[in-house]
Amino acid sequence: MGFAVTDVQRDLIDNVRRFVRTEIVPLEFELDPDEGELSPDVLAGLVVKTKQMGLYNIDVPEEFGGAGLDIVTRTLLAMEMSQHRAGLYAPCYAAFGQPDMGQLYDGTEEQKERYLYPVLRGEKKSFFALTEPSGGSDPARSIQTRAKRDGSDWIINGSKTFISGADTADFGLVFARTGDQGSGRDGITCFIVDADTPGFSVRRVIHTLRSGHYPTELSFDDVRVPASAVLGEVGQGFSLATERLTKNRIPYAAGCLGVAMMAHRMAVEYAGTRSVFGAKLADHEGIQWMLVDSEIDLRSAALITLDAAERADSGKPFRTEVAMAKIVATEAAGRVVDRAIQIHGGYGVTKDLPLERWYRELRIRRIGEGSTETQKMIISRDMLRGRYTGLLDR
Amino acid sequence: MSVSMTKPWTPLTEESLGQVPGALGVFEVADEGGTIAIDYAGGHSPFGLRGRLQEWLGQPGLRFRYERTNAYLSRYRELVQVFANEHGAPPRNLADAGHRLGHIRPN
Repeated sequence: MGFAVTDVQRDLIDNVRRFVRTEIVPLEFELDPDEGELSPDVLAGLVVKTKQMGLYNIDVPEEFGGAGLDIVTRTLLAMEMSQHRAGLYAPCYAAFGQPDMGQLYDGTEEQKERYLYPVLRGEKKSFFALTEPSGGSDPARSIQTRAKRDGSDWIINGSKTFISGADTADFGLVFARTGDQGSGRDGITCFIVDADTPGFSVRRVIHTLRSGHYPTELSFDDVRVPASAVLGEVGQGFSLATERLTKNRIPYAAGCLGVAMMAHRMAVEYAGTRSVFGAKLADHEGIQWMLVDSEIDLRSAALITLDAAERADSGKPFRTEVAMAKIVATEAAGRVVDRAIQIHGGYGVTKDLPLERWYRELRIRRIGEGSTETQKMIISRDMLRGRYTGLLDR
Repeated sequence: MSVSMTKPWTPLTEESLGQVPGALGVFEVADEGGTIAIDYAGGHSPFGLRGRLQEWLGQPGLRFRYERTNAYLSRYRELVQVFANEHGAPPRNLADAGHRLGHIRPN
């Protein structure tokens, strides 16, 4: 293993860093501190620039017109793209393309024409509906939304919760049980549901610590969809979901590290300029040790995250490494931002600085995309069942 | 649980605004014909809700109501969607804002 950044990666990092600092950060002086969206006109102007950079649709494979990056490079860029106020949940306000809906690449030609290509062109928005009120950590067992055959159609009934973007989406990927309640992962099917289908409704916004990018609660009351709405095979929806969730945890982890890196830089700079008790903050041992702890947190978490990315690129099983990265990055980023706030004192908790927003939103990251405890279960299961090879035994 | 704002209306006067906190939150303003504005007091709003509502002083016959919340942006977008789906268009203050209607409807 080795993480020397290549010349190509260096150029990409520099380009994205310049884009964030010259195009994104200045916009945020005018936006509300909790904002997570840009007006369509402003976003369109940014997209022209990311297309010129060759980085539009950054998560999309090359054969579908995307940037076609390897996962290590994507991870490095995720660390750069999140280094602004809204960066954790809206990195560059989606100027590099909408979040990946990788499952659609495996759809039929008709599904690609109707859903995938419009998303890639930025004409349609989508949502991903897996979590239910009965639980989100163990969807294979907790999914109670049911889809029953009715002739060649399917009728969906149930509810979903903590679903982002559903209130303004054109369609969604909805996971419903088509087998018995005890059928586990083999009884779940993925359906593409248009948002204007009768019986589908967005009941409410769920108000959380993050205000600019919010989850919603959905209900499905006798939602009728045709057989052509099944994505993949009947009963194989769970593998579609988990594949996406596992891979997405790598940029998810990297995004946390990006904001933490920026918070740390702010803390170092502030400690070097602010004086207290006749000396710079940076001259006090208590502050020095906080800065060192943050540096070690960031370095170790970045290495573990890049290791997971490299493992994913290698084609070998990477679930355990990704789970580790998700834990370490989200937990470390929370500690780093917390220390940065402490070093900034009262200013750290004001909306004048982005630290308080990152602090709130990072708290969610320890739960979202599989909580720390769920990741630990994955790791321990793989260790105890001999499915994981230690670093020095690879 | 209603997703619309259900608090009673208060006449919009200098005196009544004195009771409004300088906090983050969302508010609605109405005239005799109904709600004409949905807006929020966010991180850049001097004196929070009170400051934002004071901008409406001087127009006779207005009423207001508000909710104090740190989740002001998500609550604001929820209220606008519910209103727009109920009335077919966003309130007057957002008529030119180009808002997508969204799918959240009144319960």
